Amino acid sequence: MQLPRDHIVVLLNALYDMDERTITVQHPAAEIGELLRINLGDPQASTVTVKTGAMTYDSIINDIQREYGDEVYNELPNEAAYVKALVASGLADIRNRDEIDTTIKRYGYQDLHEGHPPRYAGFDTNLLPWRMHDVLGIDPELYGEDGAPKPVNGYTLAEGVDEELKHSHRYGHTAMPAAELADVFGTEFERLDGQPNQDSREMRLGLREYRRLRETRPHDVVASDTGDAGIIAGCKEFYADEPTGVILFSNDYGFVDRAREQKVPAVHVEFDLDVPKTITATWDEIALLLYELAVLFGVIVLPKATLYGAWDGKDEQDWQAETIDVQCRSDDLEDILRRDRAIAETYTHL
Amino acid sequence: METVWITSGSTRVEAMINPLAAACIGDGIDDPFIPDTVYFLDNPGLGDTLSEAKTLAREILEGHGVESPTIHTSTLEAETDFEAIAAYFQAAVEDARAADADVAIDVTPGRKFMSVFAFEAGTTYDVDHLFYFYLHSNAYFDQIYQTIPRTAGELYDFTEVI
Repeated sequence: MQLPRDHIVVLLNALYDMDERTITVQHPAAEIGELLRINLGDPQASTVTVKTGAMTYDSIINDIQREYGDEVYNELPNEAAYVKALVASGLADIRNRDEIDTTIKRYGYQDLHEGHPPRYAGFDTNLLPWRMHDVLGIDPELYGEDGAPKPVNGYTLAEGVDEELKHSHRYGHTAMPAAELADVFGTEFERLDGQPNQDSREMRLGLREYRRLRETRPHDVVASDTGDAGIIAGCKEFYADEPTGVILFSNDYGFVDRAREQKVPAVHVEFDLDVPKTITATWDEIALLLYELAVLFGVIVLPKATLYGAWDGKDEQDWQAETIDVQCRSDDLEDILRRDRAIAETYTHL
Repeated sequence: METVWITSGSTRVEAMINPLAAACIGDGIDDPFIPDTVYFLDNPGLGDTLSEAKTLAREILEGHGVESPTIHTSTLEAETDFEAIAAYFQAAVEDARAADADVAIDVTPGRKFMSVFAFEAGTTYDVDHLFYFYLHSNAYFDQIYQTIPRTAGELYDFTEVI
């Protein structure tokens, strides 16, 4: 049964009603096993215990690499992506928050009423999957007081970034067969046949954010080539004769250095190497995390339900709608979820 | 035995529907309360909200196994027609009593005076349940029950607590 990201709380409620108040989040592979444990409590501050931290996870996937080779290893998100998923969901923070805030204060908060030109934010391809507009606290619709200057006024969307995000490999076509992955990680992975592989799923998250910003926020689409040099040159050229400016954000020091050499303001977004063992999170953040993990890993296992971030039959519309496929391993859960999902959908379409 | 839910009207569909959804699963109360008959009170100020509430009420009740729920709507000419509000609750309770039904009044939705009349009717006619849906934070004010974290709200039956 498919569930859009916005309605994953419906699943949490259904589990809660079935007295599943502690939600273990597991990878199907026995070698990886339990990633996190969520205690469904306070709606604004539930406890998430990280059972497999990024360092431990890194050592597990290195063992998998030794045993099964690079091709299999590359089908697991790396430890950095694991940390970034927690950041993107709001459960962990970026490492250099102060530096980012200082940069935004210096270049952003343009007072449009005073005639200042707007300032846009541009994200490198490696940051797009991780919901930076929200994580950095810069989005003009989400942050800043009404009528007061906003951190930034919109986004610079380079065509080169779009091009890089669209790059896609599919299991059984341009990536290893899903059946081979299933032999190693579990039969669940058979359902990934024909779907984007791990790296491409990460890019899908980025593509969705790119589209979201393009569809819903003020923006400039900037003609550019791919690669650091292409993206930076495109931005520099676009704004050369414009009063508007850009601040570029990247997770790559090379990109930031190159931009600064070209006199384009740029800042590095740093992620921690690991995440705290115990975290408090809102239910909405937990729902977002489950979505991110389902897409990143392809499959995650919860009590009474298995969540697929990709499955045979997931089409472009499903990606656009950010749906996951929930396979209930309990008929009672399926009945509750089917009923409540239908009501939530009716309400959305009223 | 028939089960009857009597509520008022609100400009917010969530206020009319969330208590009903919580009652049907028994969130916070001793036993689930799944009505087969629902009374709503419309007034000209509500626009399309009441028809939306009826759509959702029907879907919720059918989802809980009520095959063809009966949904009554009374309409006020003006929302300050207090006599008509009082008469609405009285008539709805009398109808329910005549059918020997288990009767609940929901005092959650609508303006404060609506709740006052609902509560007064509930105590005067000694209904079986007097429901109020409480949200711990207004962060979820504009959401339907199914998407509100279960721990963020609770249904109270005032006949149990007072």
